[in-house]
Amino acid sequence: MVKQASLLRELQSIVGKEHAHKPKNDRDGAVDGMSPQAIVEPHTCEEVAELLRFANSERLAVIPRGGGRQTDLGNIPASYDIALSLARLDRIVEHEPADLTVTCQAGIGVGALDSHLARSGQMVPLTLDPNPADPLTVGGLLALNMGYIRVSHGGPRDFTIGLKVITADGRTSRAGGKVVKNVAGYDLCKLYIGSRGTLAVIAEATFKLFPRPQIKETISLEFADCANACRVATETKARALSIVDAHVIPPQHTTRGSANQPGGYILHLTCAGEPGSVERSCKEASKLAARAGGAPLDSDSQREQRTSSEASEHAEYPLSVRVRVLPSLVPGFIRAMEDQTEGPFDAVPLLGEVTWVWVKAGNQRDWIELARAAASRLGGTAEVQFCSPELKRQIDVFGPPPPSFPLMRAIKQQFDPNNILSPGRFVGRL
Amino acid sequence: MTAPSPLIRDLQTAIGRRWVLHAPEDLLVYEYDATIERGLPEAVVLPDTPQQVAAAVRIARRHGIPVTARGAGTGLSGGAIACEGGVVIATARMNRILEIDADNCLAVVEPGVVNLHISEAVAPYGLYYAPDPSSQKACTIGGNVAENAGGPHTLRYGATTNHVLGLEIVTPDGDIMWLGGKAAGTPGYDLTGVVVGSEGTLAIVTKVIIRLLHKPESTITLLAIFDEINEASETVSAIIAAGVLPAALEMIDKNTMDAVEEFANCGYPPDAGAALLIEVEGLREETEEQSNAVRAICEKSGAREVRVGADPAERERLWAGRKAALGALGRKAPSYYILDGVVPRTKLPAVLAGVYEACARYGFPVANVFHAGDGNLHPNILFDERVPGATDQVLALGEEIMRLCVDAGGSITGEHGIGYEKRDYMSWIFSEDDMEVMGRLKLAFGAAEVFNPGKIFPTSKGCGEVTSRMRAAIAKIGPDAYV
Repeated sequence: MVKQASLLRELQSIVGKEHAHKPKNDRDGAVDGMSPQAIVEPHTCEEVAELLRFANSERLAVIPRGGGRQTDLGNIPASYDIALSLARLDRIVEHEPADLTVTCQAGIGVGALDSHLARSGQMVPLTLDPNPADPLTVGGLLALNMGYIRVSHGGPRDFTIGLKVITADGRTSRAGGKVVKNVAGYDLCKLYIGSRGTLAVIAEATFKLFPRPQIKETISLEFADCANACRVATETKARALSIVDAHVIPPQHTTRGSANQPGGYILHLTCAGEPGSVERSCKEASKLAARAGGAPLDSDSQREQRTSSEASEHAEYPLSVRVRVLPSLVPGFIRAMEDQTEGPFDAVPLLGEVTWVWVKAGNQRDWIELARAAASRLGGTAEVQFCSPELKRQIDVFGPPPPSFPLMRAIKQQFDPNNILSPGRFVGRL
Repeated sequence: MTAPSPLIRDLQTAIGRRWVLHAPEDLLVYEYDATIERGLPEAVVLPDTPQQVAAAVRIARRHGIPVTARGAGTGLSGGAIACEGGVVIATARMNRILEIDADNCLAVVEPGVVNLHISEAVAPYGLYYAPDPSSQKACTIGGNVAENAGGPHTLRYGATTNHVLGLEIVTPDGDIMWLGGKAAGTPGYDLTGVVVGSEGTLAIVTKVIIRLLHKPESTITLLAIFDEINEASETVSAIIAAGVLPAALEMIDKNTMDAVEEFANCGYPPDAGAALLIEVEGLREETEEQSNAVRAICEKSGAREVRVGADPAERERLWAGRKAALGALGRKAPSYYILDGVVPRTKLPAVLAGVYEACARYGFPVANVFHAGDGNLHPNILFDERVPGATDQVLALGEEIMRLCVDAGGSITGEHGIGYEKRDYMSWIFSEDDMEVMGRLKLAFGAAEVFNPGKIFPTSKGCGEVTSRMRAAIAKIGPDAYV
């Protein structure tokens, strides 16, 4: 094992003195409370490749990071030597508006990319209105296969057409290409997207672009019954309305809930597109809601509109768990949970996704088991999002590995035989 | 009659005598697909269950011979051809729709189900299956998964890979395993996404969970006629740049229109240079606005006429010429060679000009009818294979056209697959490192040369005489081919 002083010197010789440093404090570059020996900020793909070749030969554990906001997602690292920050790989490589494609580096902020594309009336459908101050990066969302308008546009796997990655042994490898339709060779983009930094470091991505919606409107509807709120969301889809996002949240999560009146479940529906269809979608959704006993919330309460940064708030709570079941089973899952525990949740019924948050400490292990059992009874899965490092040491945040786990292990073995990339962090502690 | 070989006996025991074909006359039917190649298997099995598929795989491995899966045999890159012999697993009997879950917009189907049958079966629920390869009346979902099939509506809805939620597969070891599932978010690597488009080289698919879409409220089809093909290709870019994302955006060139008019009266003017077929879908408000915008762009770009159809009968009429195109071309020449390449949309005018120039230089007529909105070209080169040397010439021309696509920053296949038609071109777009990394995936699946050997990768062993056989067989593309 390389000593820290000489490690730093080695890293500095690759990226320059000012771009490799020791953690400045406990939180700098930390993952689940573990600090790396060094943080490096390469500026080019060649530097990333050289760093990985070095780490691979020295068997040093490398965890790639973007804005750092969601870095704690995943199992506790088996070891952690180098934080590989992609912050300086933040350029737009190529954007030809009429081709409706863009190539950018992984470290670019979602907000920066979006404001560039906005000038051409286009977007990568990762989120509708990113907050420029949000540290969310393109590479981070790719690693998680995460997006905030998946209801209408799917996740990154659905609109990423090419990737440039650096493999654990420091090779630069391309998957896909720069054209929107392409079936040449294995679709390794699918493999890397959502692999959470365990197979290769994503350095560059090419996306298929979409026209930017002309307008966007969110309506908020209140229901006494959670199942009705979920059903209205589903019905808007069956009518092919212009819905891009739909969340159901429980009473205590609303402003009105904090007042004396208990309030009901809130359905936030976001419609986007051209004005005519957005107007009609909102109108029809309100009508559907009215038939199911839903009432529009006054504009004051609409301040509760979700923003993409809300997920980060979960990190401050003792525990959050994300459950995925079939969309039609979301109300049943919520009911089962409410019978046995408290806590706000954020459900996206159209995706079959419910994030449950426990805001006060208690018996977190039991709660995890509770959520896992409720999900599993409905054929779903549960992933612990945020909890204390102490708790994480005792659990596998992903729960039991899927039946295809032997193939996953074989893939990890082929792509990262020395287990240097985010070791131990993925499913089954891959 | 000679006694069956040990291989045949083993297969018969596992799958039943009736479902194991080994007589030469029976095997002939399975020797080719819709295109260019032939390869005679030693046996064809028609299993009925995943367990029988797994048994056939284990038997083949025990006998040290490869396995090739086969759907309807409509593929356009030789994907279903057993180029090194071995066992062909045909999915014809596994053709059941096992479950339709309308509430969750999904269905579980067997691989031998015909693409169009799915949309027919779910139509009563107001749902449909979006990927619509032109062969959808014949091709099977298993083949679609293997090739990551596309179609005209890929432009808005994506290809097969965007509509598959999970797969039951048989691994090269003969294990049955689920990848993905009905509910999104199966933890771990996206193995479903990796197997889709792997051309039968990693696994054999025995069940497919597909995503269904709600039918749009409104669909409007426009047919714009242009004097010059350049105007048409520039209109494609103009529509995309204007922020309209049509469901389909197809180009039909002059040679295609002439061929179509000769036997189906679609009302294409004899002196037109090209036509664009544009379809917009969504809410009424949306399609109205978009169709008006598209019409205005077409007219501004020089369209001499724009026909609009909103009801099913009118729309059908506008599509008729596009759908009849390949059949019509079959009447123009004894043989034709369908190419599949992709270019960035802005390069379309230049690459199309290059295609016409190259074909003129070689002296072959070419008809272009293709998915222009995606930049997915399908030049059809018309020729007569009986003329000595013509086939060689056509292949050289095809290679040159593929080069044009790659030089423009494009790809060598948008929806037909590499197969072994194009495995030697892989190095034009992928470096040795890129392909080495793809090879790791094959190693992880333990698939070395078990499934569909000789496909995709130029480094695969065997198939030494591929090219010569390919040349001999190219003429087999018939008038019932699809594109």
